Amino acid sequence: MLVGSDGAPDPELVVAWRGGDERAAGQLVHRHAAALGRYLAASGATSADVDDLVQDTFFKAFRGLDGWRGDGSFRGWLFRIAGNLLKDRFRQNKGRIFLEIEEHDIAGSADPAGELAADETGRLLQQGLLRLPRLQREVFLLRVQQGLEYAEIASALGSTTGAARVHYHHAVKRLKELLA
Amino acid sequence: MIDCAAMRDRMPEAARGTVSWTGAEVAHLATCTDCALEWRIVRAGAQLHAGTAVAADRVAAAVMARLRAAPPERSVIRRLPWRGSVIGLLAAAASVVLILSAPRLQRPRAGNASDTATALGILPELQALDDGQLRSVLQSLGSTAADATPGVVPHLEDLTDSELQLLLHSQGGE
Ligand SMILES: [Zn+2]
Repeated sequence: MLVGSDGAPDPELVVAWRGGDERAAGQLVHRHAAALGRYLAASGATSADVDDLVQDTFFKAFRGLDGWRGDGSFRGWLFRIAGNLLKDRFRQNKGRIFLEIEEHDIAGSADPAGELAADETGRLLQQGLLRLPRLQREVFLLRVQQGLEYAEIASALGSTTGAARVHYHHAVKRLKELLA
Repeated sequence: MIDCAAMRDRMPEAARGTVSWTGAEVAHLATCTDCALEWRIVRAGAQLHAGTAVAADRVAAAVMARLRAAPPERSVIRRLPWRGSVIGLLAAAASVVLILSAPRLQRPRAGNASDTATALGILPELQALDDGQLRSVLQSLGSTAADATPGVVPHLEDLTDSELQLLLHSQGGE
């Protein structure tokens, strides 16, 4: 359960929003928007699309709270919605990869000496991720970029912990081949 | 002796700084090529798009404005009595397509007991289809659900609401 430094845990905010408290919904947006943005960007969304997709994710989440059973994390559920929206957007674009690789934006290194190598690895990793099957890419990002445990990933993707581990294993194997 | 698999399991947490490597593990990373490569990938993955900025204030304001303009309302799919039964009916429809090898099929009628019974009866057969067969079924239904991202295999229960709506529309549903 994620508790922000500024307040109540997610489920409490969700209950408050259901009761009409817009401030609670705003807190949820502030708590999760940046993580969703990073996830969408790494999943192939252009920087121009990220804000819109984040907005659509929250809109859809808040309108469809009946779909969140509460047995998984709210954050995981947001990732699931975001992933589906991106899939729909991708399809609307007739299958074109719509990531414009913005190299300066891929890695956020604060280490000047290692920045060049980190940028190069980040660039290759981003290219490799876009070649992975969607589930492998999503599991890798949720595990590595977002720090979710396998159980939380399984819940977010409607899968099992074992399957999430397998997808992660295959993703890393493939990325190693691409980056070796 | 370092257990490579156990160490790799902890890499995401180590990359995020929530666990630390021991001296022996640091030494291992300097000598084990495979672990070193995975560590490089995981560290880069943890930092991926760290600089992405989202205007949370603007997003929150826009979401609230949209919600006020369109008060919470169940989607077409969620208005239906049970999403699972929709999937069941679609599964039945798809199975009929398979059985008859026909490009189109008769519309399933909501509330028709025999259709529902058919759906429930045929569903296990659809669940047994492999991914290629399921893709063919979806294509035969005229859905874009089969036009998946390369490497993405469509599963009925994994369809997004918009995909389910497309399927419903293709069958003359809501
Ligand atoms: Zn090793």
